[in-house]
Formats: sequence, structure tokens, C-alpha cells
Amino acid sequence: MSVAVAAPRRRPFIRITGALPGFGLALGYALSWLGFIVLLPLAALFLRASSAGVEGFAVTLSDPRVQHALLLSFGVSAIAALFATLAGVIIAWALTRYDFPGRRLVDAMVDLPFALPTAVAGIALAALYAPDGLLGAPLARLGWQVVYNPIGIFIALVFIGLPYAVRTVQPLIAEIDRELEEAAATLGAARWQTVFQVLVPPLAPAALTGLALAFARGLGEYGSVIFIAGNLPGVSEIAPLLIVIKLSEFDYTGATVIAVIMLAMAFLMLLVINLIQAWSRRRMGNV
Amino acid sequence: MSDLEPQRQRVYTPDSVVTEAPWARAAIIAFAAAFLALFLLLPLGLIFHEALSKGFDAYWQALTDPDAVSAIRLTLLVAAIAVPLNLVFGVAASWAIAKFDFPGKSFLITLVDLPFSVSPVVAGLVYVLLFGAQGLLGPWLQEHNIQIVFALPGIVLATVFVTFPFVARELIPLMQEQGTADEEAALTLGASGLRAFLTVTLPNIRWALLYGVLLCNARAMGEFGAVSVVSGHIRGLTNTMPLHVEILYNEYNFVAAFAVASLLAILALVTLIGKTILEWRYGEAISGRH
Amino acid sequence: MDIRVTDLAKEFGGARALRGVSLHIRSGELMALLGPSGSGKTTLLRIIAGLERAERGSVFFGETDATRLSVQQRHVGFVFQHYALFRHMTVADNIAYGLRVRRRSERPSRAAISARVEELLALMQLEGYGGRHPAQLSGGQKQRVALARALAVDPRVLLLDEPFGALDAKVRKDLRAWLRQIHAQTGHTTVFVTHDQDEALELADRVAILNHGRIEQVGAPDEIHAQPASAFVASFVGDAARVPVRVRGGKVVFGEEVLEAPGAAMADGDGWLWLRPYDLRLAGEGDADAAGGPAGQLGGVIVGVRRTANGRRVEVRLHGLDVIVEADAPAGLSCGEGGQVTLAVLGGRVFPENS
Repeated sequence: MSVAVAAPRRRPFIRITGALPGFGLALGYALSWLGFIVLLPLAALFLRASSAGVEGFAVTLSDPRVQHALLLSFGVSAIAALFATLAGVIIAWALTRYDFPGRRLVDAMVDLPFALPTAVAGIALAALYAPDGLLGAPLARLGWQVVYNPIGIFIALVFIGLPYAVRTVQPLIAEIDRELEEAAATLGAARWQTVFQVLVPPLAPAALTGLALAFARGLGEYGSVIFIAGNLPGVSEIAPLLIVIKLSEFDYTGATVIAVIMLAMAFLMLLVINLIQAWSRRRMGNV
Repeated sequence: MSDLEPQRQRVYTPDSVVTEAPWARAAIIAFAAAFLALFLLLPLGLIFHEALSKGFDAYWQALTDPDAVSAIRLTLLVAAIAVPLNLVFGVAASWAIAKFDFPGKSFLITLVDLPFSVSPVVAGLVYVLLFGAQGLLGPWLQEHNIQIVFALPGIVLATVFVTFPFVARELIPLMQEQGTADEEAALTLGASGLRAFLTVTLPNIRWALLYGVLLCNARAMGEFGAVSVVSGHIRGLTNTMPLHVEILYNEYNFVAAFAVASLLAILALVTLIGKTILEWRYGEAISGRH
Repeated sequence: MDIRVTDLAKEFGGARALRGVSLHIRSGELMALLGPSGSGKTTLLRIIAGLERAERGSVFFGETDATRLSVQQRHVGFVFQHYALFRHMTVADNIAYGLRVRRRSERPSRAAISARVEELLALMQLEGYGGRHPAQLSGGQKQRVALARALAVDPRVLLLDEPFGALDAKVRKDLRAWLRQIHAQTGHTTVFVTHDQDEALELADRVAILNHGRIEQVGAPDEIHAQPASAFVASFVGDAARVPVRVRGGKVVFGEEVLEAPGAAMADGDGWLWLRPYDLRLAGEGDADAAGGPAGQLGGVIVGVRRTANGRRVEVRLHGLDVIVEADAPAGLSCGEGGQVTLAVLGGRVFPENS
């Protein structure tokens, strides 16, 4: 006598319910290309970092030059991102809520830092703010030197971060429901109260997202910074530049350590952005 | 009622009751205009001003210099290889992600976007660590006499890395929005899968595809940090336009530096114009919103 | 407090939204502004609130001329069609908002504000919801929060713009009864805009009917329904069919038939007789008693019989005309479709042809 045992029906890992073809090919191709271009090289970085070990990290990070570069990069990126976000919210407000001559042109111009190669932006900013430059000369007469110090880095990073700040809040400003403003007005709120208590707070998650994006981008920025920064070790030398310098000195471990720290920071920003958006979705129903 | 007494009433009649006062409006617009002029327009104008500061002949000479010409050639060549590679990847990835359901999808989208979060310098570094003489595969490559870093393949790889998400991130949300109904209709009408893709899917995504390619190309031609790390800066051989700008600038040859830079600035302007036209005319076809 | 508007006119980019509207809303009254879309009813409400400015005319709250007061100074409670809740604030913060934005000298104490919030939450049957965010509420709950927020400041008048427009049918019905109850409890002069005649007739003490920026009629629901002041009101409110007639010497002439319809208050000439189902009584062929009602009778053919919630309704095509009128069928109606019937005309209203 044989007992028929029903084999447990296994749910396929990937279930293709539709009739469309090409899933295997498309996914297979995409995954292999992703693996080759992105994952394999990043794996090489982490492999190198792990072979450097705690000791490698300790040696590199105990170097005051490295410490200064990392602190400078984090600090200036954060300040520049904050400034770009504040300016970006005001600019986005002007571009979406008011009509003025040339508005669409100005709107299109906001993306210039996305489109302009960083090296080009870098030399333009450096020439503009050089002691004999168009803006540098009058500033120099006031006793302010902008190039070859952290202020120059700040200017370059504001330039780079601005479109992130504007473009993340702009769609939300455009979607502000007129009824909200009217509701606040009927409740007796003065205009400034309406703006700062009713209209701006819902923009906060988007503004924070823009801030995080601008910060992450500024942290890794290289081309637009190095020309205006002057790259004086211990003064205006940023972390990405130090990676390049370590590489040219064949200090692969040093370069790797700095890169891993920057990468970790970038991933942390990615996580922060996701958390902000999840929080705001839960709180306000959408982003 | 006490709070309605006439002496306390402030009479004002703006055309809309819910907007900022005219002075606040003017101040905000003035701030935005001044900020953008100072931070964006002035640097842009300066590029052309500097490039032409010694006259058009000097400008033309700088552009026709053999090293400049070879930099322009290399930049075009790199973009011509990197952009199609990312185009094919973008279409394949978004086809799989948007038209099918599978576990780990959102993680895959995060991975596709990952290169945007990586510093360009780190992007260059990872290829040096992988393919360089001291790298993981370095000894093997040397044995077989394959040069990747400090040569064209390295530049192309670094460029592909930094421009990796451009096409895919335009297509994925659009194709998710469009769903699979159109393709399924084509299949029920007897079209083959390939034919459905070519005649139904592609026309649906063509403007978004063009948009992604435009942005991808601008970044590919302008990339500096990543390429700088892997190129080795060999004049006339592995120098792209942005790298050439750097060399000229560091040699205090400002006219030539800004002349080459002006070409890249024109590329940026053309990209912006093309992008803006696409957004105005085909905004819905790109964003998928109606 | 009563609201009096006089001769209000408003244009939007050349389109005339209001063409000289005057209206008196009595103190404590619940008034509906009813009309099709584009009739100017929402514009009228928004001008009362101060959300739009009229080109001409004035708005009085009691004895106070509010025409040139800003929206903040008018001190009205306004409930928006899509609730307009502040989604970054909790329900309690939303309700308290109008109190918290007051100048320090006029602002109630913290404790007084939270007491007021609790009181309103109780009134709205939303106890325990104070800490939630609007995104966590249903449509009906959101609407109640919006109403609580408007009432919190103890407004002079309460204005509601399509208050139930965004809700589904069931919730609408519940909220209607409930709004009536709130109105009875708080006694605010209340104006609400609606395009739903059932809502207006069921809920309001009086209804103002608007069309093309003018007020067609103001009256109690019964009055509006039974004695429409214009052809528009007759057609817009309730079911009505119109029959082409002539008026001669105060009598209404339909073909060979002379009807003594009550509402023939027009000069001699062509006009329309508007008939509601209850203006007609049906009699089968040979059912002679029923024929010859007070105002005359009409003959026709039954083209359809419908079952309604309260009985049966027949559709009758009048002889010699492409006009179908409706009438309630008597319980013992024997004939069906195709049957010849006579309709006794018990009432109806006549308006000139081009009104």
C-alpha cells in the first residue's frame, strides 16, 4: 500500500502573473550590469578597507591633515546646505507663487549647476572671486578674502546645492491648497502667521530632504571646489581632494579609509532622506 | 461688537485677500533674482567674457590647439560609448522594475540610484582599486596586457558609473504609472513581445527617454572628478575637455582654459534649453502625470 | 446676528458672477444658497466672508458695515468644501488655531483654549481624537473637525461652502441631520452653499435660489416648491414638466382646453405651464368621476409606469404634443402602457415663454 503524499506546492520565488515577455532577460541584464559597474567596484573598496583593518583606519585618521579635511568637508557642506536650503525655499516661493517678467527663464536657470560641468563652474567661481576678480576685487577692498579659504568652498557648495534645495520644495509650494490660506485668514490669522504657521511647516520634510541631498552632494563635490579653495593643507583642503592626493602618493589605504568614511556618510544621508519621507507620509498622508 | 468699532478698522483692498503684501512680494522676488544673478548668471557670463577677453582669434586658436582638439574628440568618444550603455541599461532595468512584480524591487531601485550618492572621486577610486596596478585585478590584467585605468576603458567606466541612474530614474516612475495594459492589449491583438515593446512601449516613453539621455549626456561630457582619478592626465591621450580645462587653468593659460570651458558651458545651455522645451511641450509625457 | 447684503456685483475676468444681489439673512437663521454651478452662490458666500471683494454693493453684519473689513476682521466661521485642515497639526491644534493666533491681549489662556477644544470635540462627538492628525480621519470626521475649528472662535456667522460635497451619500445624510442639530444648539446665523436641492430643502429654514448671478427667489422650502417665483425655480427645484400654453384674459388655454390654473399671473401671450406630479390626478378611460378637476383636464397616452419608493408613477404623453408629464398613479389603476387616460389639473404655475 502506498500513501500518496501531496508534495507541498512551492510558491515560485518570482511569480510572473502577466503575459508580458522579457522579464528574465531584462532583469538579468540589468542585474549583471549593475553588478559589474556599481557593486563589484564598491565591493573592491570595502575589501580594501577591511584588509586595512582597524590599524589602517587608526593610522590614517590620526593624521591631523585628514582630520581637518574631514571636519572641513562635513562642516562647510552642512553650512552651505543649510544656506542653500533657506535661499532655495525663498527662490522656489518666488518662482511658484508670483508672476514676474522672465519667471520661466529664471526657473530654467535654476538647473544650471546640474548641467554645468563642475570644473567649468570651479574656474568661473575662482576667477570671479579672485582678489582681482569681478566680485573678489570689491570684497578685497572691504578686507574680505573669499578664495583660498573655507568661504570659497562655501560659495562653491551653495552653487552646487541650490538646485537640490529649490527642486525638492518647489512642487510642494505649487500644490499648496488655496483653501488653507483662506481658512487661516477666516480664523483671524495675519498674513505672516498664515505663512509661517500654516504654509511653511508642511514644506519642512521636503526642505529637509533637499538639505540632505545638498549636504550629500556637497560632501563629495570636487570639481567646483578645488579651484576656488586653493587647497592649503589644514586650511582649505577638502576630503575628496585628499583622496586624490593620497592616490597620487600611492597611499591606497589612506585613500580607501577616507572614501569609506565619506561613503558611509552618503549612505547615512540616503537613510535619513528615506526616514524623513516615511515620517512625513505617515504624518501628513503624503510627501 | 467691540472689535468692530470703526476707529480700529484697518482698511486695505489688495486684489486678492490671501497673498503677501506688495512690498513683501517685491522683496522676495528681488531676493530670488539677485541671488540667482549673483550665484548663477554672473559665473556663467564670466566664462564667455574671459574666453573672448583676448579677442576671437585667441579664442579660436585655443580651441584648435591639437591638445584641445584631441580632448574634444575623447570627450565625444566617451559620451558616445557611455550614453548608449546607460540607455540600454535604463530601458532594461525599468522594463523589469515597472512592468513586473518581484521581491526586492524597491531595494533594486535604491541600488540603481546609488551612484548619485557616491562622490565622483570615490567613483574613480573604486576603479583604481579594482583595475589599477595595485588593484584586485591589477596583476591579472597586467599579465594579459590589458590597460584599463589611465586609459580609455577606465574613463568610460568611471563615466558610466557617475551617469548610471539618469535614464532609469526618468523611466521607472513613468513606466510604473503607465502600467501594462497597453502592452497586454498589443499581445492580445497578436503582436509578439518584441513588437509590442517597439511599437507600444517605446513610443510611450520616447520623450522621457530623450530627457534622460539629454541629462545623461551632459553629465557624461562634463564629468570631472571621477574621470580625473582614472585618467592619468596624459595630454593628447587621456585628457577629456574638463581635464584639459584644469590643466590650462593651472598653467595660468586662462584664455585657453575659458575657451574650452565655454564649449562645455554651451553644452550646458543647450541641455538646459532642450530640457526646458521637453518639460514645456511634453511635461505630461515625461512625468506621467495628467 | 443678521447679515444684510445689498446690490453686490462681481466679475471674474469679464464673466459676471454676481449682478446686483441683495439678500437679508435673519439672525439665527439657517439659510441655503442653492443654484447650479456658475450661478454665483459660492461667490456670494465668499464675499460675505471677505474672501472676495465685490466691485459694488455692501455687506452688513447687524448694524456694522463689514464691506471694507478684511477677512480676519470679519470674524466669520468658514467651512471649506475640502475641509482645508492643517495637516501638520493635530485635530486639537487645528481647532485651537483661531484662538492661538489672536493678539496676546485678546488671547484666552492656555487652559481656556484647551477647555474650549475639549468642549468642541465633545459637541462634534470626536472625544479622544484631539491628538490625531487629519490624515488619520475619515471624510465625515474631517468635516466635523473643520466645523469645530470654525466654531471655536465663536464667530458672528457660520458660512459653509458645499459642506457635504466631498462626502459619500450615506455620510452626507448623517451629517445633514447632525448639522441641523448643531445649529439648533449653537444658534449661529448659518449660510451654506449647495447645488443639491434635497439638501437645501431638507436642512434650511429658508432657501435662496441663484441663477446667472441673480437671486431668483428667497423663501421657505415649502414656498419654493409650491410657489416657484420663476420658470427657472420651477424647473430647478423638484420634478416638473412644462406644457406650452397661451394665456388669454387670465385664463390658460391649452389647445381647445381652457384651464383655470392658479398661477397664471402673466400678461396675455404664449407661456409655459409647469406641472409637478402632484398637480395632476390620473383617471382611467371611462372613469368619469375623476375627470374634470378644478382647473381643467388633459388627455394623453401612458408611455411608462415606474415603481417608486412610495407608489407608482405614470409617464403620460399628452395628445398632440411631444410632451411627457408625470403623475402619481391611484392604487386601483387598471390600464398599463398604451392606455388612454385623462389627467385632472389641480394646480401648476404659468410663466411667460421667454423667462
